[in-house]
Amino acid sequence: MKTKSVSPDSPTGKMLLKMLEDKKLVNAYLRGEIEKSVLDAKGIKLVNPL
Amino acid sequence: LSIPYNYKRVGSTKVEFKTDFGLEYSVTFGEGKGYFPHHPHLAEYLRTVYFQIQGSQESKIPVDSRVGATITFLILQYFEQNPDGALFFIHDGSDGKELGRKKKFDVWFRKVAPDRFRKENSVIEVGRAKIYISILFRQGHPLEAELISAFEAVGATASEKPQDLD
Repeated sequence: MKTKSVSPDSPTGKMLLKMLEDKKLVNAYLRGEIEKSVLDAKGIKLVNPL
Repeated sequence: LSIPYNYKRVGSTKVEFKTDFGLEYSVTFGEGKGYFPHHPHLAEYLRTVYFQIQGSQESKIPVDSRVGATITFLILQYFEQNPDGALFFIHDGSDGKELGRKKKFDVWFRKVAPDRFRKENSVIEVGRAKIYISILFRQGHPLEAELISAFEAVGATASEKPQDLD
């Protein structure tokens, strides 16, 4: 597994940091700390899991 | 092979299960299309998957092979229902435990589906953040080359370092 590095100010860097931020919000939702409406407001769409 | 825990659906977007040790896990899937803006035609195939322990994680989590069996079972269920689906994983490596998590997941998955799936992994440093990403889909997927291309495009402008973690 190779390691790459990218500037946080680059489009790729910004997208990756957004992915992490989204994940933190989804995890907070799964822990019951925030409502799904917070995810909706951020444009994070969950789908029927199974 | 360990027996998966029983799970229950909670609302339209969550699955939960409780372990013999009293820990509760939640699992959900999300749309991943926004993460591959240059490959919009793959949007219908790509999903992200998240799993999370409820409550505080300050105490040590007991070793429990049934957790891996359950999460793997749920992922296999997803592929049963979406054979041409692809799952995208993203993890924050800031706590230094991510490589261990990746290995644990790979062990879980190899036990139940050693040859059925292809999994690609990458590590990208973004400033001080170390981000682990993976993609998982079935062997022989009709869009295999495109999925790999889309995955490799994440961080394509990045500079590659010589270190190799495998």
